[in-house]
Amino acid sequence: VQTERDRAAARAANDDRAFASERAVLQQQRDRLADADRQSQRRVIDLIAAVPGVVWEATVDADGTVRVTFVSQYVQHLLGYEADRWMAAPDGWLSAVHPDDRAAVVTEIRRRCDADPSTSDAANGVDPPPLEFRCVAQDGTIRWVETRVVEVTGETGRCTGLRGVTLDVTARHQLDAALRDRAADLSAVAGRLQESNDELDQFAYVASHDLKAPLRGIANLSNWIEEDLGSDRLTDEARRQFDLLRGRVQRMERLIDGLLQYSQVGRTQGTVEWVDVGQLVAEVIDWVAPPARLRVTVGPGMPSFNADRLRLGQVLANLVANAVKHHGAGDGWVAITCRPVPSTGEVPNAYEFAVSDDGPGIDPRYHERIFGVFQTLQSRDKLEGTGVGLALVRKVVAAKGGAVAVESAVGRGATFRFTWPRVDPAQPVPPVGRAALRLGPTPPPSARMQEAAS
Amino acid sequence: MSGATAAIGDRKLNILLVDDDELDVMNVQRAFRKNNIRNPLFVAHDGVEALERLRDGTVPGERRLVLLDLNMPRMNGIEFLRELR
Repeated sequence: VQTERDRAAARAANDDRAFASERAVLQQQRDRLADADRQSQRRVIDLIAAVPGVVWEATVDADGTVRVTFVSQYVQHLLGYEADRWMAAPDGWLSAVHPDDRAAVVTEIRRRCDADPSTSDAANGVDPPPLEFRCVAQDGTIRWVETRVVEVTGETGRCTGLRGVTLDVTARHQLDAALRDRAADLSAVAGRLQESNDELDQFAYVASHDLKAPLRGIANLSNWIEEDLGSDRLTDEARRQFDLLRGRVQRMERLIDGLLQYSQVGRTQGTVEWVDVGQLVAEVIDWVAPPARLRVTVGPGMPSFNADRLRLGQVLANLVANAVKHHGAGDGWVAITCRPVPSTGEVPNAYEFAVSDDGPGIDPRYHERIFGVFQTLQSRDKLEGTGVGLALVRKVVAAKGGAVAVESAVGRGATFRFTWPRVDPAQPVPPVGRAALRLGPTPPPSARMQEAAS
Repeated sequence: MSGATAAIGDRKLNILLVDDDELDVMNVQRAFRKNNIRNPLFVAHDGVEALERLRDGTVPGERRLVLLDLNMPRMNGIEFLRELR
């Protein structure tokens, strides 16, 4: 019997020990879990404290009252009020919202709470847009904030709470406002520019019509005087003077035309189209109609690219016509070549064209002067010219973002080089990200901007 | 050439020249003389004057031809045509 009892006691003691060690293991596990829980909470608290925005949580009562139950310390930095103030009274947070934006904010939150969760933005996989409105800080300054809100749905399916992050976007709004002001300024400047362009167009018309009319009159009168006097009463000297007079009239007409052309460069945008330069050069040569004694060659590799065909043709025509006109008597050649810039890349940024000749050449000391408007190196009586051609070339090329230069010396011919940037077809406009739902006011754009938009 | 007269059928055409530039008027008159065109040529220097000449009977009321400049003081050519219609 004794041994029976002893054995039973020993068994019980064994069980107790096993039980105790099991309990110890369980306790250890519990401790580890609690530890992990504390760590995880610590992590969330640290992260919330580090967010440069206000992290908050609120409950929504059945009557729609929103009570803030948690708000991160950043709120004090953002608006100046202590964090405790937000929990003090139901809807107390609303007193910090700008009075003019309160109704809109409340309405929008109600709308989101009341929305059927199955048809809400979130259910459809779309982030609901953040709310943008104004708050009044403790020091009275107005801060624009952007708030992202997540609805918390209770067991009944009713929206029982809200969680969110509120960021200070005042700086962005100030930039926006500055940008809008600048845009308004620019559009005002553009308007004035348009007016002055219109005036210039008017001037161009007046110059071409009204300035030329008296010239035609002078030419007519000289003809009539010559006719009325008759050949018997007119000396050879007088006849030569009448010819000179009419020559000057024609020169004046050409100068007016040149000045008009020059004044109109860069003011009209021009149409950019696909240009087969080889074909354009052929047309230019055809138009210049060089004499047979001059051999005109076109180099290989004439590109096809998007360019303002009219202006490119104008520049090429002026340079080729100059080479032909100043070549003088005797045989010779004019060469038109082209190379991509940079020459190594697959898609060039620009093309460099060169018009070369073996004519008399230009003394380097005149290389700058020849590009001036109304500048000629020879008396107009020896070689009729307006002095507009190269000025026009430089102005057109510059307006297109290129540059023109001359390489020449007396007796060594001349080479005029100019670059012509490639124009890319309009890039598709990237889609704009989803905009915030602005509940505060948007400053009305200026009247001029509205005009531009309509 | 033995004197030409522009006419509709065999009746004479009355020509009203409207131009503010004396030289242009002289140009037309010389051209008429040179080519022996002997139609009656009436001259007005702007739209207002041209309307007066047409209304006060200076230019006979039948078979009228108007040579019209566009850019003129007081009433230009376009305004004159609008008034005439």
